[in-house]
Amino acid sequence: MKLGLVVGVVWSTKKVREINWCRMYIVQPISTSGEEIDTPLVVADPKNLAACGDKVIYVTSTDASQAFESGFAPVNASIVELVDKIV
Amino acid sequence: MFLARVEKKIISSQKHDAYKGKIVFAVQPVSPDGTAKGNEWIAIDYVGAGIGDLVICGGAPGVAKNVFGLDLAPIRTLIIAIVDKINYHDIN
Amino acid sequence: MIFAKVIGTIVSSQKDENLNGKKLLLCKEVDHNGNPLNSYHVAVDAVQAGEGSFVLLSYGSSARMTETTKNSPIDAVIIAIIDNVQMTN
Repeated sequence: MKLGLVVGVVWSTKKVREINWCRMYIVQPISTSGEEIDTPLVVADPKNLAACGDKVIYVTSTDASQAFESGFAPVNASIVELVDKIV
Repeated sequence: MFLARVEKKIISSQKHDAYKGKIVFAVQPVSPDGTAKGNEWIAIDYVGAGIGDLVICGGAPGVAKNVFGLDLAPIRTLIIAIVDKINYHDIN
Repeated sequence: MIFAKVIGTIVSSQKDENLNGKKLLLCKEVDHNGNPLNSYHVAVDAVQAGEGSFVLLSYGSSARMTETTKNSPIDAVIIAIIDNVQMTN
């Protein structure tokens, strides 16, 4: 899992059935102190947790499909937690 | 698996069901001598680690599923051990 | 997932039988503004995309997690046609 900042939304009406209801965001990976690292990536939000400007935790690769109720979705990254505070 | 130092704790109220009741830490991968290496990872605690501890992180896809007995586990990184001591001899 | 632009189609007659009936598209990776990057991907089409479409492409083992691509030997699939990308400042 990694920490990221939601910086954009991807709007799409035509999606495969497995992710039809799911929102897609652009997430910029950041360090806990807030510096940007790497390039932004597209992340699915199956639990409807995030909005633009939120700090989130996302999970990548095979485990990303596990964030969906069905466990079956063609996504490479999913948001799993909305961060309130880092101490 | 990789060696890391527990740096910060992440506090959150809205999360995926699989994360409920679990402690989430930000860990910094380190070399055996303790110098930071690469970017931070977010890991779930499985052994009772605390901030400042040297730990081993790891977990392949599906490991968290077995460890926590969940049907769906979007969990990639687990803290699986607290390091007491490393004996090593660097060949450089 | 990555952004891509469909730049062509691929025709093949001898292929694995699990690929029969699937449309193969040649895609070029782009950034969120649509500027082309350097890599190309051959992806299975799951949303009836056409040449020139701005699409979202999923890769790796996750690519096999759609109804169309279940159990096929593929590692890239087009999962959405993008209408718009909105970035905050």
